[in-house]
Amino acid sequence: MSKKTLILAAALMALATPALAGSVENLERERSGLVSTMLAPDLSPGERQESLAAGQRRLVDLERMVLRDKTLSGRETTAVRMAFANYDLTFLVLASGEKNLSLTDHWLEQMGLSTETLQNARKGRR
Amino acid sequence: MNRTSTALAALLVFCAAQAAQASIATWQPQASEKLVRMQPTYIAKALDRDFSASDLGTALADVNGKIKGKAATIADLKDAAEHAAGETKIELRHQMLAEKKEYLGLIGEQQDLRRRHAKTKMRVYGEMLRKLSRSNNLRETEAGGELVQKQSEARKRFLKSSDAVDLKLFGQTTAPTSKYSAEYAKNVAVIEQLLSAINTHPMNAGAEIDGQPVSKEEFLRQQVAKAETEASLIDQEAQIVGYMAKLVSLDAAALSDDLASSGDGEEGAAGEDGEASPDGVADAVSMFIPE
Repeated sequence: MSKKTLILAAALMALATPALAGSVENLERERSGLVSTMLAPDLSPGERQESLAAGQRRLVDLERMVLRDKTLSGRETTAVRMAFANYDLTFLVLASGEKNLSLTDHWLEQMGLSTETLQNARKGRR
Repeated sequence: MNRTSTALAALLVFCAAQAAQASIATWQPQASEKLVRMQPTYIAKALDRDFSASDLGTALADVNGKIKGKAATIADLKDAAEHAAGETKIELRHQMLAEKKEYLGLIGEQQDLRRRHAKTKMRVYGEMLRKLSRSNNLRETEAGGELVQKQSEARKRFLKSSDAVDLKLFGQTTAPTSKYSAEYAKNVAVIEQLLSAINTHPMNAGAEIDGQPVSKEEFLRQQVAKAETEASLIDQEAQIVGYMAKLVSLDAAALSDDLASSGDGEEGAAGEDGEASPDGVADAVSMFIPE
């Protein structure tokens, strides 16, 4: 077998390797990006709003894809189990829309970060 | 009497040699993961193929061939004895007795091989059934059932709130889809088409019993039951062979008697009709019962 053929075969094999990007993984990636945007200290309120709006549209598509993905049914992987363990935390856009809250308010609520808890927070030793 | 004893001794030695050869013939299939994962119809075919290629399969095929040959010989001898007279007739009767004894020896050997075949099948199918049950239990764990339930609840919740979310996000109930989701939906449709083609492919056909589709587990249970039934039939056939052997020894005694009383050879051979080689033991009964 010539060197060229070997290289071509190796390249084809690499292409044939399935990418580790299922619908759940894509959703997780997009959601983590959106949460980072929510918490980014260097963004102005306007920039943050614009970024979040665009991100929400992308995120809602991915959330729908995960919910409609029949191949996930009963699939016992950690990612899938954790994704469906908490609907409100996984499907942020859908859940916030249900409750008529903004995405940020909904996420903070899920994290247990309300105005009251933040106001009562104290710095000190455990 | 001397001739009979010599014939019997020779027969015993011959049968011992044959039995020794058949007793070392083995078949040791394993219930591998690969076999368990096959389609049910292919499991049965794969095992049959493996058996045919094994020592046990070869020995059984060999014995079956010898049995057919022996039955043909007995039929020929019967036919000849009917038309013979005097010393020739006695000689033919004597030969027929010897052939019948050899025939019964071969039948016994065949039954032993078939019994081993049936017991091995029971063991292998039983192992496959246990492996399949174990892997089914792992798949249907409590967590798995819980996950499916959560997924179902999530879908219901999504369907209930989908319009409200679209209204909030896009100001309309019909949300525009992005290019990515359109491509994704197209790919999902293609995947479903391919899966459907795979499921309906004739080579992927599931097991059927009496025309009814059955699960792999049920199919394997049926195979175990079939092998058990086969083993019981073999035991019953062994009883038949026992009675045939008794008849042969009575025929031998009758021949000795005839020879002792100046052997007029007038007694005809047992009036069996010259049948063609029988296949089963029960079919061979006419070779042993006089009319």
